[in-house]
Order: sequence, then C-alpha cells, then structure tokens
Amino acid sequence: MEKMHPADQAANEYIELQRRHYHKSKPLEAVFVALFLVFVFGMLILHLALPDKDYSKRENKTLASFPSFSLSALLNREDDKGAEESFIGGYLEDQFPFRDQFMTVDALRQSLLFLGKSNGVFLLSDGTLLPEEPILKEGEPLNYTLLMNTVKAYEQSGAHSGKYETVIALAGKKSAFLEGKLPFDYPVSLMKDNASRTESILKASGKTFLSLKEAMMPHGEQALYYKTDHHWTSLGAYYATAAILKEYGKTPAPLSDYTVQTATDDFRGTAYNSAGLYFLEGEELEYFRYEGDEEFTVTLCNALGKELSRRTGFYDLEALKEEHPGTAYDSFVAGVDTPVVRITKEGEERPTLLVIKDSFAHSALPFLAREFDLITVDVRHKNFTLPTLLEKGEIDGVLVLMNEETLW
Amino acid sequence: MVFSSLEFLFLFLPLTLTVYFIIPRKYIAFRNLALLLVSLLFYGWGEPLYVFLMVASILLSYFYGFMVGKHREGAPKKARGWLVAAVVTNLGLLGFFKYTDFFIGIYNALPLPDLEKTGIALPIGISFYTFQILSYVIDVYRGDTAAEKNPLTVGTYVTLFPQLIAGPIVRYKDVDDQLKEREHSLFLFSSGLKTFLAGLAKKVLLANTAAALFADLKALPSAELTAAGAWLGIIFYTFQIYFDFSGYSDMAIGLGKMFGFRFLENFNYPYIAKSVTEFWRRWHISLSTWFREYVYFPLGGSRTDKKWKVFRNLLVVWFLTGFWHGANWNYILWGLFFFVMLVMEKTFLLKVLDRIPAFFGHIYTLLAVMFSWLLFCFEDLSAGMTWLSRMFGAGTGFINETVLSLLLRSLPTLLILAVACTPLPKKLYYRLYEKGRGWRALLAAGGLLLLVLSVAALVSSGFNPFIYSTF
Repeated sequence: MEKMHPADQAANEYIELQRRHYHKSKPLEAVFVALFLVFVFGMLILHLALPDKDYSKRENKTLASFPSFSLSALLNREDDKGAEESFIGGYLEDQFPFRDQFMTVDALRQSLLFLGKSNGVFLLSDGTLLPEEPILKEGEPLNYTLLMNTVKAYEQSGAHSGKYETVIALAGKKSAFLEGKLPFDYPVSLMKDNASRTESILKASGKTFLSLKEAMMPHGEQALYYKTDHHWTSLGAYYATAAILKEYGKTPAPLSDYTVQTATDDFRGTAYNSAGLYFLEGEELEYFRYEGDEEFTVTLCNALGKELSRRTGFYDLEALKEEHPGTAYDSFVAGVDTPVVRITKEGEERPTLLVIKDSFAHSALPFLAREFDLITVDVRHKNFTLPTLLEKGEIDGVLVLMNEETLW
Repeated sequence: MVFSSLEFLFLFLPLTLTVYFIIPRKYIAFRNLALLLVSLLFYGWGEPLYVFLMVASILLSYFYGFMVGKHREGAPKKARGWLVAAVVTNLGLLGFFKYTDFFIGIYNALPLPDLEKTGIALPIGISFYTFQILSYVIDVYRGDTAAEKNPLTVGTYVTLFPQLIAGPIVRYKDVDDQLKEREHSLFLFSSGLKTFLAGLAKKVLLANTAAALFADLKALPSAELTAAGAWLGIIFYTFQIYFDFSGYSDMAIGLGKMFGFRFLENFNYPYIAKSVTEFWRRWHISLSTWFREYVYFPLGGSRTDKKWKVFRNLLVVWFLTGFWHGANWNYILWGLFFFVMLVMEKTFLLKVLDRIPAFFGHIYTLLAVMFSWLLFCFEDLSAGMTWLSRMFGAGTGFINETVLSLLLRSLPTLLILAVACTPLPKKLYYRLYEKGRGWRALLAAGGLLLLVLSVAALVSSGFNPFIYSTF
C-alpha cells in the first residue's frame, strides 16, 4: 500500500473534523449552499431577464452586445486567446447584472488594499481624484512631429495671413496645483521631470511658448481643476485664456464681467469613472456666461471643414442630459470626436485663430471667442488637406492649446 | 474555459449542476455521462475543433487499455506491445501539438534550408490529460487497476472538467472506484464549495493582484526599474504563480467534492519548505508523483547499484519535468536548475541545512525558488538575465520614487500574500470552526463574501490569465 502524502492525510483529517460537526450544523450548511445556488442561478436569471444596455453612463463607453454566433467565426477564432477569453466573456462582463455595484465593490476593495488607490487613481482626503503620473517614453514625444507638421502646414498655406506669430500654450496638469495635498508617495520629481521635458521640447520648437501653469499658479488656492476630472474648471480656463489673450495683446475681460451658471451639480468626470468609487458624489460644473454669448454661431464640421450642423451658443445641452453624466464636460462646444469646429460672431469682422487643441481647449473657447473668430482642429488629427481647403487669408494666427499628456 | 470567469460561474456551473443533480443518484452511469458531456462542452468552449482530438484520444486510450488488460495475464509480450503503442501514440500527439515548432526552431539553427514553423495551436490541457491517459494504460498494465469495460467511464475520467485543463493530474487508480460509486451528500457538496471558494479567492483576489503589480513593474522602462523593483517584481511573480496554480487546484478539488470525487492534494504550503527537496514534496505534488511513479522508479530510482545511475535518473526526470512545462529552452533550464539543486542537496547540502538554524534553510529555499521562477517567467532567456542583473543593481539605482510608491502601497498586499502562503489561515479557520455554530456561520458568510469580492473583481477587470493553463 502506497504511503499517504501528508497533505492528503491533513485533508482527510479536516474532512473528518467537518463531518464530526456536521450533525450540529446541518441547517447552516444547507443555508450556505442555498445562498450560493441562489446567487449563481439568480444572476443567470437576472441576466437573461434584464434587457442588455448599449451604453455605460459611468464609463462613457459602448457595452459589448451578444456576440453574433456563426460556426465559421467560432472555428476561425484567434486561437492564442484560447480558453482565457471566450467569445462570450466580454459580453458577460459588460452586461452583468448590477455591474456598476460590483465595480464599486471592487474599487472599494482596491482602495482599502492599496491605501486609497483604486484602478490607478488616488483618492485624496478632500475627495479629489487624481490619476497616476504617467512614465513618459524616452526620446521625442509621439505626437510632437505630428504637431509641428500640422503647425507648419497652416503657417505655410495660403490660408494664413501672417498677422500673428504662432503661440504654443501648454496647460498644466492638475497634480501641479495640488502641492501639499498630494498623496504621500506621489512621484513629485517624476511629475516635475515630465513637465520640464515637455516644456523644453516645446520651447526648442522656435515658437512662442506660453506656460499656462505658471500663469495660473498665482490663483492656485482657487478651484482651478475639477475634483473628479482631469480638466480645468471654467475658472481655471478663464485664467488660462487671460494669459493667452494677453500674449496676443488683448485685454481680457475682468471676472466680474461674467455670470456663473451651474450647468449641473452632478458632474462625474474621467477620474471618477476610472476610479470606480461610484459612491462618491458628483460636483458642480459651471459655465461663465457673458452678455451676448448666446449669439455666437457654432458650426460643427467634418475633417475637411464641411458643415455637419450648426447652432447658436457655445453649450451643447444634449451632453448635459442625465443619461450622459460622464460627458457633461463635452457640453463645452463639442466633444473631442468632432473634427473641426468654427465659431463666429455674426456681423463683426474679427481676426480668426486656428486652434490646434485637445479637450482642455473646449472650456476655454467661450473666453477666446470674445476676441477672435475660431477654427478648432484636434491635435491628434492627421489630415493635412484642411489647410489647403481654407480660403486665402482666412486665418490670422495659429494657437496650440493642449495639455502635456496629449503630446506623448 | 477557466473556473475564474463569469461564464463558468454563471453559465456553465448552473447548467452543469442542473443536468447532473436532476439525474437520480442511483443512476451513476448517467451522472458520469452527464459529466462527460458537460466536460466536452467545457473543453470545446475554448477549443471547438480540438474536441474531436479529445474524443479520439479517449477512444484510443479505451482501446489500448482494453488490449493491455486482455493480454496482460496470458500474453505479457503482447500486452507490453500495446502499452508501447499507447505510450508512443499519446506522447506522439503531445509531441506533435506541443513541440513541433520547437524542434523546427532547433533544426533551423542548423546550416540547412529553413523549414517553416507550423504555428499549430496548443490544445489546452493536453499536457495534463496525456499524462492521465498514460497513467490509466500503465496502471492497467501493472495490474494496479482493471481495464475499464465502459468507454464512457474512461471518457469521464479523462475529461472530468474540474481537473481537465490544469490538473491536478489524477491517476486512474485513485478514482477508478469513485467512477462507479461515490458519496453524493450535502455535507460533501458544502465542504467542496468552501474549498472551491477559497481557491477562487486565491486566484482572483491574490494571484491576479500579484500579477497586476508584477505587470506594473515589468511595464517600467528598464532604467526606471531599480534593484528594489526587480526584487519586488520577482517576489510578486513568486506569489502569483503559487496562488494562481494552487488556487486552481483548490477549485478543482472543491468542484470534485461537489460532484462526489475525492482528488489528492496538489500543494502543501511549498513556500515554507526548508530545502529544495522539501519544496518539491510540497509543490505540484501530482506532477512529481507522476514522474516518480512512471519515470523515476521504472528507471531504477535511487535503488540502483551505481551512484551515477541515480544522477542519470534524476537528470532524465528533471529534464522531462522542465520540458513538460513548455516547449522552450527556459523551461528545460528551469528543470535542469532543479536537477543541480537536488543533486547538491542529496550529496551534501541537506546535511549542512540540517545543522544550521531552520531560518537559513527557509531563506535559501525561497531564494532558489525565486531564481527558478526567473527562468520560468521569462521565455526569452536574455530578458530573464537582464532582470536578474537589475536585481543586483546593474545599470539601475537601488530604488526610485515610482518603485518606492509601489512598494509602500502594496505593503498590506504583501503581508496578506505572505501570511496566505503559510498554514496559518487554515489552522485559524478550523480553530474557529470548532468553537461553535456561531463561528461556523460566520466562516460560511466569509466564504460568500469572498465569492462576491471575486465576482466584483471579475466584473471589473478582464485581466485574468491562468499561468498554468498554457502548459
């Protein structure tokens, strides 16, 4: 007879121990098993009974739908994925009953385990959510060449009147304004290093460089950035654009000129969505309104500058609707996926700025539009046909307005 | 399909429980048939085409077992012939699917015209079920068990979904009786469910967390890794592979119990070993048992007349153990590393370890095992060696703020992982278990909490690879 492995011996002893107590706790074991079965079968039934959702409000993403089944698709599947990810796995993950609640449970587990950090987002004591500092690649930023080529394409096209020099305005990051409040282990020198690397590359471009972080820093005590999002607030955007306007020789309107309108008090931004701590509360998102701002014409265009739709006023109230809480920031003019936007003031002949931008620019556009007509193009846009399609002398200057991370 | 997935927990398991328990318990053959069918579904979920290979393997092993059994009394030579045929066929299939491209790679290194690699996808679990089939035919040949008359029973044995894709490698003689008669009871179901939940939590909450932290470190630019980061990384991997694999084994053993099977244990707290020899008595027990029984002993084991034969036998076993884990040089080296360590221990090191305080034995064993995982986790040897050189500070500082941050944030995790490697949690569990019904209710609630936490983690993340299912 083969000698029993000590591990099997121990396992048998444990089973015998359980068996000895079994007669005293039979109802308990029955309840335990029943609860398990209710959970497993219940979730399955709920999943079948509840209608699938197309869209997650929280994550602002389209959810996987039931995979269309075909034998050939099944047989020709990429086999290296193998059993790890079957054809239905992603669907179940996305359509799981009480998905948001489960995600919150997991985020809570993570933030307990990792001392206030979940899904790569720090939760600060005042409720601010701060995404991790990225480690930038060595060498030149990925989008830098693209950016400079885009700038050059506009500068050299006949569309540029040559009135203004190109200005590169770099938005600071939220973390830079949180000194003293940063998590104990926040990589401050990495953060500073990232910023100075980006700045020195942009400074070396030969264009006029404007650090919006420096311009905003004197007002650092105020709420310049959202707690739940990485973007600046309207107040932050005001100070940033004030610096830009000064760079163009304009005098920005004083703060007192604006009426603050609360667009929503339940804004939940990008950091909120990725942290998954869905029990936290939303925050206010404000518009800085001024007289006549509803009269601007906003034209949304395709990549070739052709009109798709047109409205008056800066704010896209559709994006504010309750079913899209993650996109309230997109109510500033248009979402990032609109390739080109033109903003004009009817009946006034004004210089036009071509703004090569990322989403930080969106909340700044209402301020810039007080002085300039605007055409915006996303910095990640790779189509160089637009400069040749604009009318001769249509633009008077190029403004680059984006944050550091877009460049990398 | 893997156990730690939503489709297993909420589609496959409910379906299987229904189909299985709807059949009255006296019809064990039908329950076996149900298990066979759901196991084929389980297998085909990820590998629809290879189900046919699986069915062919089952029929062949039934046939070989039958022929070996038929002749072993009257015509031992014929029986031996059928045994050889069984071994050649099964190892041939394993070799073809798992090792063809590896050997083409070796051939292409020769100054001859190159051959194109086949790109054959590895049928999942083939390394595991091939060994199970071999154990069946060999056990029949040795007379340790009778040849099974019902091919469906052989099919159930080979495909039994709990152990199908990542072990434990169940020997036929350990379950042959259970295939005909086994205990179906609320007691065993409940006990198995607890084992399953513990395994699920080990995999989803512990292994995946360790894996994510290791991945964070691997993603750092080489210069940012630092010596501390390199050590931390391999420590996380050491935890990951243990909780991943032992969690999977626990889930298999637990599921087995739920369906009335008692599988042998596969892990016995390997990281508390005081020597590498002891480590291998505690790690992947079913694999080392298999090699001992079907390779090492037949070669003569350690009971040979000449000492060099013992070393030769060990060399064969450890070369094969390494190669079994994967068709790559790093796995072979990994096996050979253990050969060297075990020979050293056999010749002198164990005596030394016996004399010094146990603490040093633990440290030495952990370092040796961590080094072995370095060979194991980097298929690209030079990447592994670069990581090793980083651990000793080559081309990188001692620590930087990124790594320090990761270390500080993961201190609670490290503590939990370390404690969970020891027998302490289980001891504590049973101490409380014996204290009374209130405690048992609390422990059961704890099990359900682990389930909810695991499901939450699965819902929120697609990051869920099983290290061992690729072997």
